[in-house]
Amino acid sequence: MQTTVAIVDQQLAASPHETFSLFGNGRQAGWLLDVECDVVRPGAIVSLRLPGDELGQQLGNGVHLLGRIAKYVPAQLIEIVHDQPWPGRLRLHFKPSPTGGTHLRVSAQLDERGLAWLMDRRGWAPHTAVDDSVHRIGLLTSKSGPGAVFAVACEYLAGLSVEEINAEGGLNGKPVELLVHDDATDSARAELEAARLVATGCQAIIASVTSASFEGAQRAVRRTGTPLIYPLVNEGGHADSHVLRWGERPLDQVSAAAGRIMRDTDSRQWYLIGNDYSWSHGAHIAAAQAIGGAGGQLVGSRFTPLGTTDFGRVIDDIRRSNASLIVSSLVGADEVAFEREAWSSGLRRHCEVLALSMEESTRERVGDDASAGIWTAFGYYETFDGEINKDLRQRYRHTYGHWAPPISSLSESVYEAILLYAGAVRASHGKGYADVVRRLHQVRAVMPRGTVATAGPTSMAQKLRVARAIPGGFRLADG
Amino acid sequence: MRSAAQEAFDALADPTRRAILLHLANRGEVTAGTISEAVDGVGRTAVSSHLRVLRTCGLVNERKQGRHRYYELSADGPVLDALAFLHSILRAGMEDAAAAVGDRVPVSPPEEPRARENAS
Repeated sequence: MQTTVAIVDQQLAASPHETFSLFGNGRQAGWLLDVECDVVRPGAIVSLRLPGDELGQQLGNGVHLLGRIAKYVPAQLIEIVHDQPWPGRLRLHFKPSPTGGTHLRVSAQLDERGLAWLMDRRGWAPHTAVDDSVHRIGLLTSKSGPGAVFAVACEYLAGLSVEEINAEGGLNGKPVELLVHDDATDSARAELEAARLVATGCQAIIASVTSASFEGAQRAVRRTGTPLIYPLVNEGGHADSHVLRWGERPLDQVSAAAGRIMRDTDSRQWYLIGNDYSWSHGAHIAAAQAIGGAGGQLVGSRFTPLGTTDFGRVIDDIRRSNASLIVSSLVGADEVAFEREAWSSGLRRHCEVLALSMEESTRERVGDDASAGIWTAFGYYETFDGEINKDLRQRYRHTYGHWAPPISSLSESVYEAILLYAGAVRASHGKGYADVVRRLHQVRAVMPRGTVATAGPTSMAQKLRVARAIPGGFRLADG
Repeated sequence: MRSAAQEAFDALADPTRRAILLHLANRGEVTAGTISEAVDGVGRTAVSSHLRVLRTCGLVNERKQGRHRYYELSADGPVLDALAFLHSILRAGMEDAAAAVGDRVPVSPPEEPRARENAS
């Protein structure tokens, strides 16, 4: 893949040592693209905000480079590999200047995927012609906006599944081609991008986006019959038969964990916090039902707009409610901001949290300290030790490298959905959308998460496991 | 020396030139007269002037045939534009860096973006 490098230089009056020491130092929050980094060491999580103002109008709100430090040499070099909104590498070179200050050089390396993302944001939408020689599958994902945090590994896992399918001869004699479009965590944009995927001949669309965006994508495929699969954790709901809602359900998540948490903490008063859209609204109805069923009591509930960064008032409200248990259905960057503030404010000393969407990528960004002890319930964790998952982990690291983001239930579900779709297409022998969809309503397979089985368009059975966050990942609560 | 991407970014700071470029992207090869009719509120002379700027920085190609001149988007136009955009993002970040450390040192001239430096 061809790479491109853009380089910018800057003279700074401070010495290389002083300038280097500002990186990730909270006292200088504005230093270079508002960098956020708890500690400077290889593997440490890094977030850089792309500038707003007139540039921001083209970038949209909340565009961050999400990555980690790959290498550093004190006072000389910091190298960041990033995965969102495009895979690339950012190098910061610190050199002493003759005047006693620093010559800072920033170089950004990107490939065609990065150029395509930037061109799209500048209004150069890709004109991908329909190509009958390939079997196209669309991935609608969030490369920017709050959802970019949880969607980070989805494109990589989708790539692995396509590679696997093509190694087995493709579908109906044609190689599979994956087209990836960014919804920017926005439902109107999701509708537009899903329509673009359909227009370029995608035979199916996999959505790793918020529920709000998924509703946008549904509008785009309503009259086309194109299978649209939502494999991630979601609140459920009825839809057309070619719209498939798989993934964990909040009722099952809270039912799996609530009783255990109440026994462990000898507490029963719960507070629900979520984002103000369909996912959290549905999740909170389910959570209230599960908590009631487990003998708990609901003492408060709050929804905040997607994109919230300050949870001070919510935390005050939780304190006033005397809740000692919290269900958080916040997603992506919002979940990161809430958990970090709940920890730094001291709320976590008095409250346990059950987080419905804090998977491995989100946990990393919450940080080891702030995430430790948070409860979760998913059908998949990267640490699962089954042979199929070990093989997946190995191939993932071999393909995408040591610094690639962790696999999570959300990203693994994308891998799984593409394989299940491929199985249905092969079994259908070219009988068309309706037959493929019929097969997807009754599929059963053994996947890295274990056995999964669908029953109709909106139900997928899978075993949920309760786990708690520990530094570096999750530990299963039931061993 | 100013880079091609920098020239392109400066050229596209003007909304009329951006509208012209988008028109060319949608319509293929057209005359200046067609552009003038399509882009609201811009006269023929002004369009010619904008096209000269776009051509100089490599975003647009010009072809003469008889008494007519035809214009089309350069194949490298969108790539140049995207690189210029990235360049400006980095530069804005660097200016923030200078402000954050309390520097008053002016931003140095940008380096040439190195397109397609290597293949991997």
